[in-house]
Amino acid sequence: MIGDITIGQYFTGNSVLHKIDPRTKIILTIVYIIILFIVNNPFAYLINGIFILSLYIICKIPFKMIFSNMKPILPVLFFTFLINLFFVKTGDIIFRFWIFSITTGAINLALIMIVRIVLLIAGSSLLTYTTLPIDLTDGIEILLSPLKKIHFPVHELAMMMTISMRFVPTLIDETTKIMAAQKSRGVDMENGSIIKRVKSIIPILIPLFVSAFRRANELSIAMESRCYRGGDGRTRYRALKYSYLDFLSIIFMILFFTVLICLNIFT
Amino acid sequence: MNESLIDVNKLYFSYINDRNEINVLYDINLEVKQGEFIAVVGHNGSGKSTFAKLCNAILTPTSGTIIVSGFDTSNEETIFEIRKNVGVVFQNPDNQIVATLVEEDVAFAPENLGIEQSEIIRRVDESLSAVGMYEYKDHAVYNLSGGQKQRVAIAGILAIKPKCIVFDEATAMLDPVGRKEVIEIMKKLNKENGTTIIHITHYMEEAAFADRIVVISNGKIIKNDSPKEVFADEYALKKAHLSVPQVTQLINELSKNNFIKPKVVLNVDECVNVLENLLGG
Repeated sequence: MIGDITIGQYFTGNSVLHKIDPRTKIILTIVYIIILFIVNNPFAYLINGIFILSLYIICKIPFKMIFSNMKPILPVLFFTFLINLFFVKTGDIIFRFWIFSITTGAINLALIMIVRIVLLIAGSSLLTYTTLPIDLTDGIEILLSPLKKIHFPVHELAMMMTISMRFVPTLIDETTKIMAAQKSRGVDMENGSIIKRVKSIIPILIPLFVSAFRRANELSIAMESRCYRGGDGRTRYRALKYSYLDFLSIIFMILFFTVLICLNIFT
Repeated sequence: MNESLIDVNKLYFSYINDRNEINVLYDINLEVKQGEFIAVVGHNGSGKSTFAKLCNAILTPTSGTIIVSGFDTSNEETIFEIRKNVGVVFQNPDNQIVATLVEEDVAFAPENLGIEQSEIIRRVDESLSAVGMYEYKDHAVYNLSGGQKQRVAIAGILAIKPKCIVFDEATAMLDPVGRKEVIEIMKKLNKENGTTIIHITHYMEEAAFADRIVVISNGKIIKNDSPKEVFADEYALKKAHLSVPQVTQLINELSKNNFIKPKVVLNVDECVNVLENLLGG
């Protein structure tokens, strides 16, 4: 059950999207999200949807990933839909019941919000599907580096992300072991009321925390003995490089965003 | 070759726990020469792991001094000079590997030292080849076996190019295959690169091939001599809750019962020779 979690959900591949520099991808993803919320034309959403689907095809990522991504946020989608449906009061009233009323504008906005969220998640997860977690942290570290001037701990943040990614599988392994150990001592994790089941997590969490702190202590000693002294004066083993692909993708995306905005203005 | 690399002088180390002062090491005097292979043995809690951390300036002596390549470990300013000269490989490979990918982890120390990128790439390749892990360069550390992880950790230290590597019970958590791999690397580094090795262990079989064995018991050095001399005094080792290697013990028992003349054997080959002579070959 725990083993199913794939961190960063990276799909090995060799597509154009895989080759683009993580910094370009991060920035384009952010702009994409902003555009998504500016545009509210149905036709623009259609083009956008086709665009995202074709990117999935180019990267050879199965469409079922979109649906499995939607599953955990289904409740959010449902509530967003309901709230928009009942509380937006624009357009003609088409249905009235007690204090509730549904208008055409509400249906319109509710549907748009759903499409927006679906496109948002499908589009932004492409970033993690096609970028190695290491590249992603490297990219974030470089993009945020101007913030160092206002003493924002950029290097520390990136180092924390690297170390967490490194320890996720180790700690998952450990959790499975502790669960097995506690089950063999008679802890019942599957049966009983919800309260009982939540309580049975405690004998798993406590040893897990103790061991995580011990690991953290040992790791910090090992890092120190390997001459770690923070981000100052540190060089990089792997250097990110922009290529002509980054240039092309930026131009392409600018055109794409312009088309979407024009559609929004003129129709 | 024979200049002193680590010079320990009247070292005391203690820490305060619940207002009680706990003495870990008393009056340690030791000299380690460049190119030596030293085994430090001791029972659990004898203070041998504390000694490893003192060599690397992770801990500093309560009194007395440790001089590494002419730098005093108590001096905050030269701490990185010391760590460039002495690297430590710790017990648990999982808790000393920082990065997700093998090559990234090996590059960690040179990155910290601010070494130029082309040089880091060279050092990563060199270090990984030296421990026989070059083909795993772009693998995730998580999928490696314990022995392989420990080899990656050694490569991570080699990338600093230290004069001395301290193995702090680096073989204790490994299976026999992994242990053998790590031991082979230690021997190779010592022989081919002339790297000084300090191997802290409680496996006496692993101590037998060192140039010198230092026995620590209750925070004091009780023996500091060649393996032959140390293993000859089985009684003193027993008092320190240690034993001699099985082959040594076998021959000692035989000589006690007057089957053969007393002789200290260190490995299986020597033992076989003695037994062949006894049985008339």
